[in-house]
Amino acid sequence: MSKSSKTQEYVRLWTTYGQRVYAYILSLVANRADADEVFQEVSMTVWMKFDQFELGSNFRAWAYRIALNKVREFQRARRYLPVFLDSDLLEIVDRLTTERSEALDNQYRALADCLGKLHPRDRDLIERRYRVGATPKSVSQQVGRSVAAVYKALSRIHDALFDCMRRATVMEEYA
Amino acid sequence: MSNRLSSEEMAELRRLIQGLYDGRITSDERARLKQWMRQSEEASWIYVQYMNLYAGLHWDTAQESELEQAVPKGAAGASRSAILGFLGDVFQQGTNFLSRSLVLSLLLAVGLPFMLFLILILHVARQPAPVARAMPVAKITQMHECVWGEGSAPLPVGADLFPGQRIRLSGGLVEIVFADGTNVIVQGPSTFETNTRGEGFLHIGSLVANVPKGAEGFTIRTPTATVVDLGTEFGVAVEDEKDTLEVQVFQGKVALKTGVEDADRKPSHHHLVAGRAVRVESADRQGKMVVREVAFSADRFVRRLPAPTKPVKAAIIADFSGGEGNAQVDQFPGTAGSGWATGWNVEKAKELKCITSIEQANPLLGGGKYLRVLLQRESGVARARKAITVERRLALTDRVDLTKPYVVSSNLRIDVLNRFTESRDRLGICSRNIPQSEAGREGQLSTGWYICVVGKGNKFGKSGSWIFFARNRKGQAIGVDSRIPAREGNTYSFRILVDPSARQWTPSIAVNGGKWTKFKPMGMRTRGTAKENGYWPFLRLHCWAGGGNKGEDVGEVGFSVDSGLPRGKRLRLVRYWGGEAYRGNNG
Repeated sequence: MSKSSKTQEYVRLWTTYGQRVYAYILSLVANRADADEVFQEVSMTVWMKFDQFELGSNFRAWAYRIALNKVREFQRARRYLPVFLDSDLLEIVDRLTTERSEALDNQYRALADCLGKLHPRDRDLIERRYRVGATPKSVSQQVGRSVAAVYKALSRIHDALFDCMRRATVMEEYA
Repeated sequence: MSNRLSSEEMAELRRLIQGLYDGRITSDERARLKQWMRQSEEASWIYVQYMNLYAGLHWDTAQESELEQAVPKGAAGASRSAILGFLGDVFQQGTNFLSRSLVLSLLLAVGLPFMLFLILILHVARQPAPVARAMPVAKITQMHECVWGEGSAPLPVGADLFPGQRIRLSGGLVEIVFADGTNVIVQGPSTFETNTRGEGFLHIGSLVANVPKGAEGFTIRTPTATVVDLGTEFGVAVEDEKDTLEVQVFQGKVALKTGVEDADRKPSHHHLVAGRAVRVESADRQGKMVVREVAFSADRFVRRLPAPTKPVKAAIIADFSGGEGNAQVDQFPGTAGSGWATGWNVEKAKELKCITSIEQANPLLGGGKYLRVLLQRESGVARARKAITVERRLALTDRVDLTKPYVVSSNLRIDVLNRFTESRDRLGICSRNIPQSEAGREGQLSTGWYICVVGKGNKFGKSGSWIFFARNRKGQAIGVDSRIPAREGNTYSFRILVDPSARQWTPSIAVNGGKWTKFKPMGMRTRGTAKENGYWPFLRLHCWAGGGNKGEDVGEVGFSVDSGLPRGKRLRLVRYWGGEAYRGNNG
């Protein structure tokens, strides 16, 4: 396979699985800033090591393995800071994410629908919250509610989205 | 699934997970959540699903700096809404299709109801994307001597490019591969924007697109024209604000459409085949475009990137013996160059006598010339109000890229420690910087990393041993006792691994060329991001000999320094996107 078509294959795979890798990393670090940082590292590494990837084999599994290693590296480098997922929890989360990737994919796909089902006011709040640079405080100022009220409302909306996404996959889970 | 949770348990679990993510739970609650997840697979699964939800919601805002510039251009697809999610993809393709100049003819051809339906779809898909996550549409795959333009965050090879993301190049070449497989080489100076998986917008500058089989239809837009590929390799150059543009076809053929649909002028269509080149210019004030044939020039565009060179480790050396073969830079005080931003600077305190000299006899570990510093406080002189420093600033990105992890090492021999008995008596090696936010508090806070010996025992450690001054994970100032005593006549080798983005440093010490003792990483003393701290660019020897009050005995400190060797990655022309990815952990 020529270099350029390999590159094209890479771009295709990464645009397909990039988001899933991001979600996987986020579940391993439980923090957005860290997830962004690790994701960049992983994105680079996947790209640089893509020559070693055997086309036709499981790209997701391969990328997840790189991500898991990067998360471990990241934790080692920051051992000086508290880590939520210790190595045993990392393993649990990794196993669940891998084993049930299909359910998680379906949930992610359902997110758009679930957002659509929210009350417009709630959707507005979520949009404000996830806008670039937004904080609960800035959101609270925009909507004229207290920070605590915003947190409370966001928790409720997240729970609603969570339930909605889960319903989309309940069949797989309890089949 | 076993051990199903009760609704109370579920409510509690949700609260803990959400609190964890928002950083709003106590350490006890964290511990409880951990324990719960260890014991119950169901709890772990709920956690994973919540993270999946957050990741879905966040997926758009990760590339903050780039997305801020992401203003959707003419292409409707540039504003894919994450709220539409996967559906958005479908809509996006639909609108792309429509936006390719077919809108008018289609609308004329079909009836009004269908037209309304189309408008509705367009309207939905064109909604601004408040949770604007889009999948990357292209990727940077190679670069050559890239110089990033103002307002453009430097991107590394491998960086994803998103819809509406703009790249400003002042010079050099960037190779971008679009998701449809098209390979584009953008040549600086240029401003280029990735719109969709099969479309880019060239604001100014030039590029060559190489479109593989199957990606036909790849489109380059410019302010005044659209070039649609029909299976080919072609170059486009937008020359100036007057929107003059040149298109040249190397292989295959392209369709060129000039003019703007919504204006009063009619677009004109042309087909160009390999070996042809045209120039498009506005002919009058009304913006009428004229297309005329020009000579084909094989050298007009850069079609291939030169082979990449591998990064090499680099070092900046100060051994006062000509270092890297540049005697002028390496003398004392020396000059800027070879990775140094300045020569050595000696800052004296008026109460202290400071004698510096380059010596050759009795060399330190490595042999050769070295710098000797002797400080004296004479009897009857008031206590020194400031330290004496001998320091030199490192260039931020010359040879060694200080924004990446790098190592500073230095040999330091203690020649004299006479009357070194007060807590004000200090001898150390440190970085320095004075962040704007800390101006005026230099004495306390100007060092990022700091290793010193203190004349008198203090709360941080045993008197007479090397102490690391740092911050702990909570951001509190701490001192860590190395338990390595500082003695006259010994030569201490210091090796400090500085990780700017993590705001961490990891020291190692060896005595008289013996085995290294490595210590744990610790936080930088100064606050603020690495960038605000200028990446701690100084190598500084820091000495107080100010103990005691007026009228007391003479104090004297002498030390010798050799081979300060900041080592690190060779300067790379790229940095991680987003610049300072670090989000303060140490306060």
